[in-house]
Amino acid sequence: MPTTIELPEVAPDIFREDETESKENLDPGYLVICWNDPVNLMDFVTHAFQQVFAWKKEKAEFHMMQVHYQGKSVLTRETMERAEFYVHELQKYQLHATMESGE
Amino acid sequence: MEAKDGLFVFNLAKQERALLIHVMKMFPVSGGPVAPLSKSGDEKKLAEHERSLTEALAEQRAEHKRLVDAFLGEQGRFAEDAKGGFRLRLTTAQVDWLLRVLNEVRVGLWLKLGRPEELIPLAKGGQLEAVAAMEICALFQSRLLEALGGGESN
Repeated sequence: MPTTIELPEVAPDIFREDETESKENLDPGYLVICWNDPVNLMDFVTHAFQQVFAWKKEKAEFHMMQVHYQGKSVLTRETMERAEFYVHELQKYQLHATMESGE
Repeated sequence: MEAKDGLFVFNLAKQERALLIHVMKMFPVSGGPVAPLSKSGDEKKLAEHERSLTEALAEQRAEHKRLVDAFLGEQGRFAEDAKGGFRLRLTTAQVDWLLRVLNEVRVGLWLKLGRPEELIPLAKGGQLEAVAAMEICALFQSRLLEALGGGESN
């Protein structure tokens, strides 16, 4: 007859974080913004977003439509270095892209 | 246009080939960035970064110019077909490259024309050649984008 072994009760370790970084203290980073212009073809803008950010077509089209109808679209928030990289890549497609402080 | 295994074959009439070569030979048109790196921020702090952007674009322009010359000088790049037209074979990467070249010509001409909102008044006002070249670029860009269309959803 099998015997029943009583297992000790295991409780997860619980750590209490006394200090957490408030949202205001986080690095605001830089926003990569694409601005509307009357020259770049809409499908070309979508194509460029897909190439630069490796986005799916639906996401790229969403941001392209924002650029077209709202005048601009915030594409991503990054560190200064990454934001600069993305602006370079977007401008290599002749898109009107800039980086602005996220503050 | 036919597409198979990442290779695109475009059928061009004789005049279309001539127009494509014409606009490609215009490359490069612009000499600097289409926009500053940032619209806000400290100009002095950003000066070095602005220079870096200008250099990156100049490097790309030089590389694209080298590739344009090689493309146009390549024997058999436009293979003549039996109907008197031409077949242009491009890989997916070459389609992206050609799109960039054509867009640089289109946007470069637009910058030279003073960033107009409308092109028709300029065409009527003595800038027909530049406006026509911009429209030719757009026509070929549309065909290239259409070719890529099915394969870009992933």
